[in-house]
Amino acid sequence: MPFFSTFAQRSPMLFARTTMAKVVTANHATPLFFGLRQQQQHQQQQSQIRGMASKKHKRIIKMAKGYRGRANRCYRLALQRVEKALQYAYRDRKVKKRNFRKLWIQRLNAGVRQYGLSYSRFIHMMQQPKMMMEEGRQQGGGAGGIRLDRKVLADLACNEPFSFKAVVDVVKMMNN
Amino acid sequence: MSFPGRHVQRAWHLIDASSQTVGRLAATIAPILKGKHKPTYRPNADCGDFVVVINADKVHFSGKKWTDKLYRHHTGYPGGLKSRRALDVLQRKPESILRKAVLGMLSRNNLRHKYIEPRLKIYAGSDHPHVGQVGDSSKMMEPVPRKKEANYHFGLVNGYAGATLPKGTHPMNPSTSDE
Repeated sequence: MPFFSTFAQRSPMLFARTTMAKVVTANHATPLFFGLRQQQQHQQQQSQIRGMASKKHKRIIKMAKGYRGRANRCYRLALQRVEKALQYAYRDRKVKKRNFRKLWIQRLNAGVRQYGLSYSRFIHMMQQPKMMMEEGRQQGGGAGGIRLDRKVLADLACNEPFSFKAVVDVVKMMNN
Repeated sequence: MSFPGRHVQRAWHLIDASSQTVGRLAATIAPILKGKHKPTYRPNADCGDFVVVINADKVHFSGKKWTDKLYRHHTGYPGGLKSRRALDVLQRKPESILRKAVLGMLSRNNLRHKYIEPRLKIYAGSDHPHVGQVGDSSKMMEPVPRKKEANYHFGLVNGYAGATLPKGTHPMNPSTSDE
């Protein structure tokens, strides 16, 4: 049925619930028991439908793997820790971008100081608009049109020292 | 990005501390210990170099600091604040003046006590037991100038060939053994 399939796509939890309910109750091969009480207990176990609450709990506890103490087992403790972890994750997705830029700048500073410049002077020289000598029109990037960002420059300084030296030479040349 | 500096090359630097101002010298030693002079710097890994300082008892304090600067510490007991003048510290343990200055400029993290601190070797006289690593003492770092110009690469100015790499390594071919 088309309606059912789209509904399932929107809420996979409900879809799982209906299928799981079917599986649990439709068990015809009941093993032989000695007494009536055991039979009733068995049927009760088989017809247990997992409610939404324990699914939610399981999801949270799964996210709390590796936590210290009872926080990796008990829902109420795990919930506190997991909520904090998610808050940190949200905040740190934005902080990660800042941290990497900081690292690139530190690496650029070290790399550029090998050639007698400092990071501040280097960036200033890179961003000053300069006329292209051949055609006489102004390039947007400055220093002959270098538009390399700090990430790429730091990568060059680390891994491609000769290319980095070439870039530094171009920047120095364009500013003399 | 790839992971540079996996095979860390550690160079040995020799510094003569005679008549160099304490704070200014410490401010050039600390980044070298931390590895910030290398473009392969990683804050989470230990990528600094060794620094050997000789003549640490001949450092210089400007002004009246030899008599007025107090090194204080508390023993933990009530009334146990001990203070000593810089001059007295010089007589008891001359290396600790420069050592305290440098360690105060290093970051307080887990790398510090096990990895970074042991790489700072300070000696009061002009003898040091690292002749095998450092080479002859003619290749020394330049004295720290009063004013840092723009071309000042963490104390390793142009033409400074004093940094020695461990035997068997070339800057372009890092050693294959793990550090």
